[in-house]
Amino acid sequence: MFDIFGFLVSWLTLFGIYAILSLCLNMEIGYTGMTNFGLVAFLGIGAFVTGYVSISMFLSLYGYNYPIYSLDAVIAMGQISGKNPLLNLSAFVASLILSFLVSGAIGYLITYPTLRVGPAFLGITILSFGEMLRIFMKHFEPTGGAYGLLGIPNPFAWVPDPALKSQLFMLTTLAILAGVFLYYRKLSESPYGRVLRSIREDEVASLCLGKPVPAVKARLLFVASGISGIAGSLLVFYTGSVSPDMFVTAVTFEVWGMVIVGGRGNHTGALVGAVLFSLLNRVSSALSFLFPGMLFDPNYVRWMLVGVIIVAALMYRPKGIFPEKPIRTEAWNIFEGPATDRGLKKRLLEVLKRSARWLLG
Amino acid sequence: MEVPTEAFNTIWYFCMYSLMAVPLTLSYRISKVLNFAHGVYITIGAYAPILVAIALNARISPFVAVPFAFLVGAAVALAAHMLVFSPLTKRNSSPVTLMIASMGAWIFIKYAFYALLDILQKAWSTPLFYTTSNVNIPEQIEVVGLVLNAKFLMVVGLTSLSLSLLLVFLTRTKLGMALRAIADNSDLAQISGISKEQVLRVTWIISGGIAAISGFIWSLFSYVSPEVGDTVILQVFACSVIGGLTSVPLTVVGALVISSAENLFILVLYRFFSVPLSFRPFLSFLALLITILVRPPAGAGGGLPYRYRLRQLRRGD
Repeated sequence: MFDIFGFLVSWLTLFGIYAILSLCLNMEIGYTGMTNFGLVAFLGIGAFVTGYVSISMFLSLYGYNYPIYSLDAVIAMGQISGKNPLLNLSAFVASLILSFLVSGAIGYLITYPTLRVGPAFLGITILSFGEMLRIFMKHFEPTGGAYGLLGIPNPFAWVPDPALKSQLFMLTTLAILAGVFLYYRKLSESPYGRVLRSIREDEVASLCLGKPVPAVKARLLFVASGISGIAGSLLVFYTGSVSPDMFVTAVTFEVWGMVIVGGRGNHTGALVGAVLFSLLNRVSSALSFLFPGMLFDPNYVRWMLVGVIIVAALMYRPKGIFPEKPIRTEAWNIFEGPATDRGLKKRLLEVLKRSARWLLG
Repeated sequence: MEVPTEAFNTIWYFCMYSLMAVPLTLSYRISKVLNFAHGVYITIGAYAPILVAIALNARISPFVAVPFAFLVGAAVALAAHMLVFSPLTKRNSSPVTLMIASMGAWIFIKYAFYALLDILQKAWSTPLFYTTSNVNIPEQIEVVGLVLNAKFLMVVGLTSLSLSLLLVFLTRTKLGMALRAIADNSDLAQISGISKEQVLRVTWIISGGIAAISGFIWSLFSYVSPEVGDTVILQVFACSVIGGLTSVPLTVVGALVISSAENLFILVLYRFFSVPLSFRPFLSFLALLITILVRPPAGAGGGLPYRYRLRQLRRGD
């Protein structure tokens, strides 16, 4: 029997994780014009930091001396992960914070060699960095090499009902997504956001106007990579395991597809793109689960569709479903509508309208 | 005389990397598309002779396999150009857009190929996702009294033949000069009567074909899987970046640097610092970073050379 509600919950969780990623990529490519082809690297860093931190926290607090990738550790984690809610939640929070910091720091460092080169070289460098990191993790023993880590404790492992557990996790993910959305929204409408757009339009001109272009780019990549790391952390808590082969380049392209289809430079567009692509992801998984033994794996069709959608969107709707809009600053509002004594009712209506506009883009 | 394996490997990798990276540089220089789908052409070139041999149920001769790989790679590259890059260029897309489109083409061709292999695997009931070449080459041949490794001889011969033919084509024929004219100044070349579309088609045929031949070379020495192109893409990009994405001779130098770093320099590191041999790709990445830091490729791919601006102004770039 096909569980519609369970499907919905898993879809929304995946949507939350993907939407965080697509918002990050939207800040990078849509607002700043930095071609980040190695988004998956930061996702992977967050994921491995999470696996390492959470499992070693549990094992050390319960006094086990196993290496974290060993089978003994997996068995021990199965026994102890549901015992102490406080420990689960604190491991969750600590992993999120550490993932943010480590991914962000690496993102900050990767800007240094690429400051002086154009989008093509930036793309090559970050793409190579992602591939290299994957190869490195495959040979890195402390996190289990090619097999990765298993038994990462879900923050709600202490909840007895599995359905409630996944719903709680979904709500947490969506709450984090809402926070990220509001933060990016604020960031992109601030003066800093306008500097980002000026860099995208013309780097030289914005340098000539006295904007510290390299510093601005580096700071943005710190924040965006850090938040991608948080998405990686959530992904690992969701799946419960992490291995280097989860972070292939194709994942980056999926996120790129979301941003391009949704609309570069528009947060709502990034969210809509994430809805479409996460639905595609879940549906193809469900299909391969429901109809085994097809002519070929439906996941191939999903990736092919991602490629076709990217190219078709670039050809027929290069600005995406939701094109970029000018920023509504306070000055614009004053310029357009002279706010002479209006009644309280009118003002309230105005406030409501504005907040609706602010929320919906 | 016993030739050490490392020297042998260096030459083999040098040949392979130059045949992989030269078409990438060439296509970027002429069409201004940074082609991320390049790795797929390599994979297809590695698979094409294998698939045709299984279909015909025979071991095919290398004199058939090489032209066949070239044709298949050229066809795929030409199709990608006609269906993706050419329409986008007509819509005045920016280089970044073309780059993203090439990524889309990469993921589409790669997984379409996966699906094709899956179908063929079920139809022929032979494993195809991890296979080896079945081209009919003798182990050793005797040339004027010397016993030589036939595969190795063939790789060196194939590489020098392809590269010298390319050199002659680019410098001595009219079409080759048209290619270079479009690369240097597209508008001026078109005013003097060169058809840009024709030149671009020729470019993609050449680069797709040579990339496919490099894939065939890979298949002579190693296993073949659909990930072949992606496992070498880092090294290929490193070679091309050393060539500044514009210069074909420098790209060949880059291939020499990368292949000796991966086969000889890693041995030094292993002996003296006990760096594991599997850390080879890091040397390529290091070479990429050093090139970008020390000799930032200005002019190609846009961007702002913050630190080196004065020097470039003096040079007149």
